[in-house]
Amino acid sequence: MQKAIRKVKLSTTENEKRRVAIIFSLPAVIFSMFLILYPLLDIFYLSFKNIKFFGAVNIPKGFTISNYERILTSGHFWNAMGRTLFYTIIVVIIAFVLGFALALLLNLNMKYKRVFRIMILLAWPIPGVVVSILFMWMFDANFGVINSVLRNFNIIAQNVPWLVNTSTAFPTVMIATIWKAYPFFTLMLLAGLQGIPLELYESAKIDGAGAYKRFKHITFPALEQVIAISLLLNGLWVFRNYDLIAVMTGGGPNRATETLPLLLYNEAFKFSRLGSGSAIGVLSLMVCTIVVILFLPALKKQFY
Amino acid sequence: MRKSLTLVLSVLLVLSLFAGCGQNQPAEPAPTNTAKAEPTATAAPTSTPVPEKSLKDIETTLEFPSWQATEPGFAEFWAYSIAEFNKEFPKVKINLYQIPYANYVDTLTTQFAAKTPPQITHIPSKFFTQFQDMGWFENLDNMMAQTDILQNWTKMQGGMQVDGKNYGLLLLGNAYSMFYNKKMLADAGLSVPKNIKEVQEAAQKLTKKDSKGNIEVFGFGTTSITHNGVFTGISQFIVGEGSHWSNPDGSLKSTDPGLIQAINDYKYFYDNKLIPLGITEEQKRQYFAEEKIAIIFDGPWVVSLLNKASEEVRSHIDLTSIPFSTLCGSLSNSVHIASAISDDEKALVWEFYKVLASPAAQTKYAEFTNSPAPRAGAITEELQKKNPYLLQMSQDANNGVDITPPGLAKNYNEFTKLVIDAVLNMTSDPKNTAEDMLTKLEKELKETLK
Repeated sequence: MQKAIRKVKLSTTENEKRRVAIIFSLPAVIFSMFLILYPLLDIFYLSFKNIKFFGAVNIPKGFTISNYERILTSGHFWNAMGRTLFYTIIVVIIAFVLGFALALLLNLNMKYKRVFRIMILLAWPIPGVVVSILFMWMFDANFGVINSVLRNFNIIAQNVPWLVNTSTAFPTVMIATIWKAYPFFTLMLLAGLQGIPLELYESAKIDGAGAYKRFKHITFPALEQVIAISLLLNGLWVFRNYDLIAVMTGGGPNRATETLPLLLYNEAFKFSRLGSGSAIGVLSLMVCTIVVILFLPALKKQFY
Repeated sequence: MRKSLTLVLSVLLVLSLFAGCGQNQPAEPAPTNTAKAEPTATAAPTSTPVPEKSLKDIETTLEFPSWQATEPGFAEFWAYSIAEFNKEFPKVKINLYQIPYANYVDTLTTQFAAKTPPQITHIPSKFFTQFQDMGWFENLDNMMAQTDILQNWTKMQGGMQVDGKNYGLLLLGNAYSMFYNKKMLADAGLSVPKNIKEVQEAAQKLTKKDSKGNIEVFGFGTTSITHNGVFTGISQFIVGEGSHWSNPDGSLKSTDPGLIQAINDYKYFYDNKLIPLGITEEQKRQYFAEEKIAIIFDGPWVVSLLNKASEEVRSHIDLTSIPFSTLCGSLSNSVHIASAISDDEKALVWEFYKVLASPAAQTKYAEFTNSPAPRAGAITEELQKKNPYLLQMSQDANNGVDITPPGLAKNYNEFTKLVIDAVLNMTSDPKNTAEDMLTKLEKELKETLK
């Protein structure tokens, strides 16, 4: 008798591997989601509450959009938003150009390459507060080294109160931020440059491509994904940067350097308006979300 | 691309919904004065302390977080006080532990919010109103009435009161003193200034320029960048000259001639370029220690900084009472009893505070910390020999008037921010007047507090 032909369902190795991977990563994912989602949901919740302080004994019942009304009709908020976007865009562009130029330089074969790399990347691990204090003293209006050097070169006649004038305070803070931000670009782009196969350049040279064409058709496209990731990460860092500005100027003079993170901190913790602070947090998050969404296509691009 | 655009448009739509659509959900108004509101914890009323006999039988641990647990001077004081307390209550363990100052208030807030406050609550006094507003502190009047504390304590204890009731025990209130470089004064043939006009004249003569016209020594120093020190600096003048920012109801005294005069006296230093611009409190003290500033107004903590300066510089520095008709000061730190703890714990904590407030402990406080103890008579002759400044600082502190603006303690942070911005704006141009500054400040204050 012929045996009935059974249809055998084969479980693929790929499916099994995927399932095992999911099971092993599930605890970490759940924990991370809890750490990320819970505070996020809490902030959303608080932004609709008229709450002054964490642990307030008498929290009003019911929800309200008065925090959002207050913030969105406040001139200070829109000024801070404009300032933050300007600050982020300019700092990121300059830091990127500087970082990229240094990465290209460090990618060359030269003597003492390692020493130069260490010196250039030194700024990155220095905490923001330390950088702020450094620049505060350098730009000190009375005895700072910047004024001293500029006077010696006859670029200025009198000391400039960099952090006191509303017109010079913001550029000064931006300079400090650029100094803190560029090493990250250098690091990321240098790693990306070192991942580009040399054969591509050799082939291009053989085909007669000059330096500019090699950069345009090989280097830049190969680095697109790295550029996108580094712009996004550093951009988000600059956008939410608090310590550099808080220590250098405290958001002054006269709010001239008050960005969204400082406004948020003041509302939530200085003025005990946690609801308003949370609303600013939610709105900032939305702006960042839009930026991340816009960057998504660039993150998906592959050169190889 | 289409998906990304859809996502972006969705986010923008949600944003625009926040901007004006929808109705307000009526929220139940929060009680305005939590000094009257009873806390929701199960604390019993503070009428009668538990009899001592039963307290000595209690075996428990009192949690005591502090940012001073390991700070030199203060650590010794706490160790002494705990040892003294344990002589009476050997079964009670006090667990003193360090929390860094930067995280301190957040940590304490979390503990209170979780209804697990520390039994011994030690806070920087600038947060007192905020914490008290949450209904977190116990009224100490009945307990204090059975001691001699209020009769012998610094006047600044008033800062621990809400509606005339005490909700804390002030551990340190400072008066501001005038620190000056006596060598610079002597070299310029000047005597120690006794009033603000003399300080202004001395500052003029002591401000020196180099060959290129840049100032290398400033006659006077005060915080001149967005920093709380700006508020402190101008308030020293205002309170010192017998005025105040506000009336008891919190309204600004925008047309008060005394207030305007005080502000103009402060502005004088800016208008005549006698102070360094763009400096923080810390930079002010650093400049003073490096003899780049001749005169500053500051608190007793400057003594510790000056002790690190060179021997030569230390010999040039001296201090005296701030040269105003009224001694002004500020509250530093205080102890409280959380309303959420049990009656037994409240009673034990009060016994510990009685030890802190005792004459012997107060003398030890001054000795270990070099700070003015709040109890009158705590500075002995022996202590005076060790720290000649201590008696002066203690006497000034005991007679000091707190610079906190009347009626605005609950909105202290907002008010100080508005003042800092207004003052820096005023001092940026000699043409700006005190009257204009006060008018704008009044308007912004009303707008902020509505």
